Amino acid sequence: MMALKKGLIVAAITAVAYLAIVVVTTPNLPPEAALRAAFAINSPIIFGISIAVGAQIFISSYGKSMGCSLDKKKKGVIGASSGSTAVSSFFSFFSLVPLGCCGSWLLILSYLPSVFGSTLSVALIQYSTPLSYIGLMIVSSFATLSGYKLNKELKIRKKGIQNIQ
Amino acid sequence: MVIAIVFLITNFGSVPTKNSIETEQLGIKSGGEIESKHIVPLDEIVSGGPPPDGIPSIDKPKFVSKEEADKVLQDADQIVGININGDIRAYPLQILVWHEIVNDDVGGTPVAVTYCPLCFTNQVFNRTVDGQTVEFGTSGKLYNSNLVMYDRTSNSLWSQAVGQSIAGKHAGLKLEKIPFDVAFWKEWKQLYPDTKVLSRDTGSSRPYGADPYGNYYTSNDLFFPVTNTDDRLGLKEIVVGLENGGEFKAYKLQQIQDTKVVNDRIGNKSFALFSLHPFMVIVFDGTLDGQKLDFQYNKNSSKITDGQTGSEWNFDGIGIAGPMKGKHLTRLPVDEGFWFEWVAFHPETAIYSG
Repeated sequence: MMALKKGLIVAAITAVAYLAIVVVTTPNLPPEAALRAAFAINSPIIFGISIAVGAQIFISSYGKSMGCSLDKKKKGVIGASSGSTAVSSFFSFFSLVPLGCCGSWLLILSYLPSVFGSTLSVALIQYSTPLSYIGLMIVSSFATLSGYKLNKELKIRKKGIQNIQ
Repeated sequence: MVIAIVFLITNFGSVPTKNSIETEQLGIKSGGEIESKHIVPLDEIVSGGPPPDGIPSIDKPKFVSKEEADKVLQDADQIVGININGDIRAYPLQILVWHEIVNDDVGGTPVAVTYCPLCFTNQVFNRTVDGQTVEFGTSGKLYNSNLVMYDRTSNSLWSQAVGQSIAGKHAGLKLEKIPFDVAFWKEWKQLYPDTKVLSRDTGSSRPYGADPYGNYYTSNDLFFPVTNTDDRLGLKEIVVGLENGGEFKAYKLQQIQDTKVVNDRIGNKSFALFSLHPFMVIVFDGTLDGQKLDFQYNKNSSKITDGQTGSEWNFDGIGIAGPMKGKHLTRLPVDEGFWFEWVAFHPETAIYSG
């Protein structure tokens, strides 16, 4: 129960953090309008990321409560999952540019060449939507993989207990 | 990637601003003299996010030849074109989208070439205010979701869509609009092979060639509120707007392109609209030397003639044959942009029905 609670809280925090960034970076819109726009443009990413991150936390907590050690490289998995979440969210924010003429996201995108160079920046902007979905797929894959591993471990343990009995 | 994101976030908002101007100083300083001068409600001038000049205008534009420009421009790329006293220049929208304002001098006239991607409004203004040449920058503010510029002399705020100061010392003052073309690079370079083209060497590193607005221009969505909406036309139908004495009329770009020539009247003034190339609409005063002229386009000969004298006219409004040979029609400035923007600023507009 505790694990489920944790998962739900983290999922909610993820969604709230995403939406808070939307509101802060689109000051020309009333918050309700900014949120409506964000859901209209990016609802698969908002829900997908929140569910995947929440699921990852739930699986991890549940496994822990059952005394399972899912992965020796758990820190690496969490890091990669968090990174993918950030990448997916970041690229999905690109589609918020039309929410403001000379708005925050146009300004932020202006800095891309100083980080990635012009050619790569052009590609990142042009393919921002597929990139955000690739990020979402990676996060979801990590959650799915963790779920699969937990399930496997629980089955092994169950079998072990049955053998002992 | 994470480092990059952190870099971007931490740099956001700390853009070095020209003349260290703070947003609060731009036209609407609280308690200041300027605050008393505004022609629109101040709470409708909202922050877009970036500080003044966060989106940097191009103030020392460099130009390249048609041949050089051909290396980076595709035929389907759009440009804003100007021809003043034979000085012909093209400003690619792929550059304007990252800067929104170019302060330039063309044919001896100081101009500001401006572009608001959200409304697809292009405007070229004479940047002479009260006899003084001024420079415009992006204020970081929006009015009706449209670019609000500021002049770096008085810090007054100017609405790009209407070319009028909306707050500050010059509130109410209108800028002189200069006729311009929006065209595809393919047609422009054929019509004006000697054109100069705004260089990508702008002094700023930007991902030119990528349009951050994606499919916004063609989608039917509008995510931000505007003060007036009107469903007589589609939100993003491109219209050419004309005004005479407080009367406004919108002409569907597609309709003008289909008929090539439109003769119409707004109030007591007659207009002639020519469109022989995609996106390019040139508007002339329909009266010449006191005589009202009606123009026709002959599909077979691809010629424009007037019904009164039978003279033949070219696309630039110059009589090339007949009694009017050598005469020039007076070209007029127009507003071209999305319908939602035109009707937000001009709720009482009529629509040309043909």
